[in-house]
Amino acid sequence: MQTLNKRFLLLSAFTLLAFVAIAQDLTGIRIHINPGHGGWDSDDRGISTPLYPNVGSGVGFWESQSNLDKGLQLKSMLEALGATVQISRTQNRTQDDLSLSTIVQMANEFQADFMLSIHSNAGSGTANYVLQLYAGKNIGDTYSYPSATPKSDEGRAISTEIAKNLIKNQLTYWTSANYNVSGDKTYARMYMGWSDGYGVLRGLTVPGVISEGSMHDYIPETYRLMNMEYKWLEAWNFKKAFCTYFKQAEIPTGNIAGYVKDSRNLILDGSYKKYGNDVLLPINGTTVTVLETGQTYTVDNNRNGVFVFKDLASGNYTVKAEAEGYYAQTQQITVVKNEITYMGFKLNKVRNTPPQVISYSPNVAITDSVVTSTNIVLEFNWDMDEASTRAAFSITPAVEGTITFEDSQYRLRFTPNVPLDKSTVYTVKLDKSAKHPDNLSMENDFIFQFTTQNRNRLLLLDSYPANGNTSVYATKPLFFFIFDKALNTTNIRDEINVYKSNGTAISKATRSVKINKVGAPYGDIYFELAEPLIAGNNYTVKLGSNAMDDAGVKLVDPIEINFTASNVAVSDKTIIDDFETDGKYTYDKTQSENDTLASIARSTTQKLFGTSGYKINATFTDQSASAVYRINDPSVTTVTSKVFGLHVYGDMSGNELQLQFRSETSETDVKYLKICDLNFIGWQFVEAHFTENEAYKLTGIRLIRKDHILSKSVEIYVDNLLQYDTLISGLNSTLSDNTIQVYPNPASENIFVKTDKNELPLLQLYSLNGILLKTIRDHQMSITEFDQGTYVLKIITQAEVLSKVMMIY
Amino acid sequence: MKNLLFIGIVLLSITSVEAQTITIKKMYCPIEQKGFHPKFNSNGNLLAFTSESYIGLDVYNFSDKSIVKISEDTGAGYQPVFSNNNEKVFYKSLTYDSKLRKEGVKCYDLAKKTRVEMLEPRRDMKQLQTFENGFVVFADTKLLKTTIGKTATPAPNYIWSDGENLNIYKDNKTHILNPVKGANGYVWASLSPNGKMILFTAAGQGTFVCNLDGKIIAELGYLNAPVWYNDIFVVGMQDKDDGQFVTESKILIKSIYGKTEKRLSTSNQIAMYPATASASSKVAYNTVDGDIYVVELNISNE
Repeated sequence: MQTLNKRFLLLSAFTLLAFVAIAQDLTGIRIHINPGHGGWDSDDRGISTPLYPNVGSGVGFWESQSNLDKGLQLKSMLEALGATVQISRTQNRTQDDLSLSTIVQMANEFQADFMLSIHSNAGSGTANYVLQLYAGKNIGDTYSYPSATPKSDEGRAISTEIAKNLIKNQLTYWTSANYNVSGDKTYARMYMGWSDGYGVLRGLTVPGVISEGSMHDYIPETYRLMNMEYKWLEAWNFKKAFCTYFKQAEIPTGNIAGYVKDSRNLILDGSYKKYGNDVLLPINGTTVTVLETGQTYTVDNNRNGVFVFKDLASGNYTVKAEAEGYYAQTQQITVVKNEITYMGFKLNKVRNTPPQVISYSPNVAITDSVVTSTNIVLEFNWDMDEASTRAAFSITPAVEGTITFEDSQYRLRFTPNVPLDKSTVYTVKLDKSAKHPDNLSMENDFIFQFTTQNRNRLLLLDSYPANGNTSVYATKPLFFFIFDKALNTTNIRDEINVYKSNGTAISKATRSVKINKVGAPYGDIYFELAEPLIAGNNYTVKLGSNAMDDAGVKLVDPIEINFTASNVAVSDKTIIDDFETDGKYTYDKTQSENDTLASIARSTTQKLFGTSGYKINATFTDQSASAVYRINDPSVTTVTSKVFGLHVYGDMSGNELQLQFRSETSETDVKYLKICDLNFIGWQFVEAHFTENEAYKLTGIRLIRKDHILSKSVEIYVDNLLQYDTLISGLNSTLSDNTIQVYPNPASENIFVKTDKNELPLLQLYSLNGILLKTIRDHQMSITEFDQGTYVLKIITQAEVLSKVMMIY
Repeated sequence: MKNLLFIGIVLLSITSVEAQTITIKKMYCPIEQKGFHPKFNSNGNLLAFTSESYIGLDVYNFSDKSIVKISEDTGAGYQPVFSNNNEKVFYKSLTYDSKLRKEGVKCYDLAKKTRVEMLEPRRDMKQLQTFENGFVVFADTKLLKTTIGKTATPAPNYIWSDGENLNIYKDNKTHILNPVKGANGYVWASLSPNGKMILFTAAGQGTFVCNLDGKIIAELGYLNAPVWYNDIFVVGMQDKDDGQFVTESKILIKSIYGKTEKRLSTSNQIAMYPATASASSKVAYNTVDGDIYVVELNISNE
């Protein structure tokens, strides 16, 4: 200790002598300092941080206060060297926020040799670099500015000296290794879109610069800028620049600047950007000592870890950092005159008890169940050693997945690659060999169990287009997908996309996207495209494996739905109703059952031809229900087999649309021609063959409720009803009323198919990407061997072919 | 008793000036080229102007609409003055010596079109002030007096601000005035035409008028770059900025005794740095884009 004191005395004496002998004399040099802004107002750059979320007068970081702190410290330094210094404010009040013209006039009348406007910059919280803007324009900038540029040489030279000093700061993280020194006119024109530079430099008769020393909205830097000595360092760099520029001389002493941080624990107080060592947790309250001089510095509580020792004589020093709960460290460092020497302490925690699991998830009674998308999380009392903890983890039955560590290794997370199996008891074990960095292991194994729920896939229940659809309206295609559970709204937009045949994705019309509108328990997404399709071209909708529901259960197996765009509008056939005349149809309550709110009316909202179509709607109150809309003055008569085509704007309700005919000879002889299932959305052309060869009159339209998620209500539009002799499409996907029924849907063991023909249908089960999975000629198909998911069942009879989307659970 | 008498005189003055009406007779933009920081001669027939950063100096002649290039020197446009006989322009010239700024004074003879160096470059030279057919300027802790073609008379009171202090040199001594407590500094100081009042801006406090002893006579509020119009009215600018550049500014004429006030610039202009010539009822100012406007006034008693 005595030796230490003697050494300290010697160093102090040397410091004093050195300072007296070669201290710089700035006598006669006049510097105007403008600490930018003033007060605690909206234009004074108060920065909300996790530590100070609500900035207010004197609370949290304010650029106005930071600039003032730097300015006042610089003023003291320069005056100590004999300079004549004027500062535009000494307090941080609104009234000190002088007008730009006043600041400029103060510097002019003061006849300063240099005007320094001290600021810090903002970079959206992600950037941090040095920017110096001197009055004038860049060398080589030939742009003609509205007003003449001031003489720039002096300003450029001094601001370059400042920048060279500031960029050496190793306590911060620079996102650009190069400083930017630019004429304010050039910079403002190129990067700010302004015509004529910065106001505080306009009209100056003295060389001037705006110093943007660092970025105050990069939160680790925000915290550093709340440390007075950190701001002193910036002021010292200004001083050094002035000494270099005006006297070409060095400052005879040097400084130590450093940080103290936890060696592995991270800052966890927010999601803000952190680079390099800024991710590590600064250790507030650390005592840092220069052993040779006995000087101590206590790290502040503003999460910056900064310490500074000023004006030291050149030489070797031993610096010690001590913090409660950490092992102390010492480091040797050499101080050089005219420089700031940087150092960093990364202290190791003292971990003196064995590690323990203090909480875990899923943590439910074994009689309860857990979603199959669950992660497995273990929380510890200490930050853990990753390698031994990773090796100690196991799960039975075995699951492939990824182990990650969070919260500075206080938390282990196991993320299965795919959802866990259904209705399965899992056992999670952490072997007692797991240890923390101080090499202590757990005292006992840690084991727990949980049971999964009976669902581990997101299921697509219905979609438009369906796979193989060849008549998607090219001009304005609508896309609609219904799932068994409400969707996670954040990822579903990206997981469903439409592609051209060459693989190019087609953008969605952003504002058209609607998610989860069908209502619980289902989930759905509806969207339109930003561009029309080309009729005749093939397209694919891809549903990504990561599409997930609101519980995180994923689709897992990607789905591809291939479809072809079509013109839809048929214009070369005889029009028997163009739906342009008002009042031709009337909702007929007597012929309807279990419905309400039904109506039919001319509408200009949706139309394919002319100026209008007809809007038809109804709400059904029972599973067995229908609504009939009669033609007030029936005129279309058919005496031979005829095809009827109709343009329909579907609603995906799944209900059935029919045309009604009555015999010319018998009012009670009523026939219904199924013209389509409403399993599409948007415009489509549908047609059906009315095979009667007797005289029937077209008397109306009927809606029949079917078993579908959305069948409770109907809202469709129709346009141009056509009559002709032969079906246009080669494939007749429509069926006569009640010819084929498929049930149940969803199904878990068997699918049953009922036809009114005395033949066994051929049943083919396809995956959604078109792979034939099973074929059987029967009225039923066993499906127990298939995973839950969405499939397409193709039913082929001699007369018809029907494709139906099936859900297996 | 003296105080009562003073108050009585002030009240009389207020009564008389309150009855005055200010109207704008004419507003025009006489100079085609860009210009800033205008400065009239005493009769308002000449108007000096410069660039925004005070590089160069030109003089516009209202009589023949001609423009004379006085100088291209750096700093030439910063507070030039005309001789009282309007034959000469005195202006500064800024140079750097060992990286320190120095200013000299030069003279341009408008009739002969010749330039003469009046003072060698030196440090810490304050603002030029017209004195008879020459000028006075405070430099090197002395008041330097230069007259041309006439025997020197006693030096006038000399007023200057230096960003920090408000100073007056009288009776061969410099006196520092501090009329506004808490001011961050003083700028834009000038002596009234009658030599009895000082107009100045106290940074962060506003613009004021005081007597030669520093006693406040009038508080004019926020009014930057103020100049005397006559012994009753001053003209200044109300500029606003967002900390980065000036967003709006207007020119006002104000009575120092009361509330008579009139906006002289138009609402669509960012108008700054006024100059006055009451002998010809003119006020000039520049817009932020460098267009110089001249307003001719009529101040009448109602």
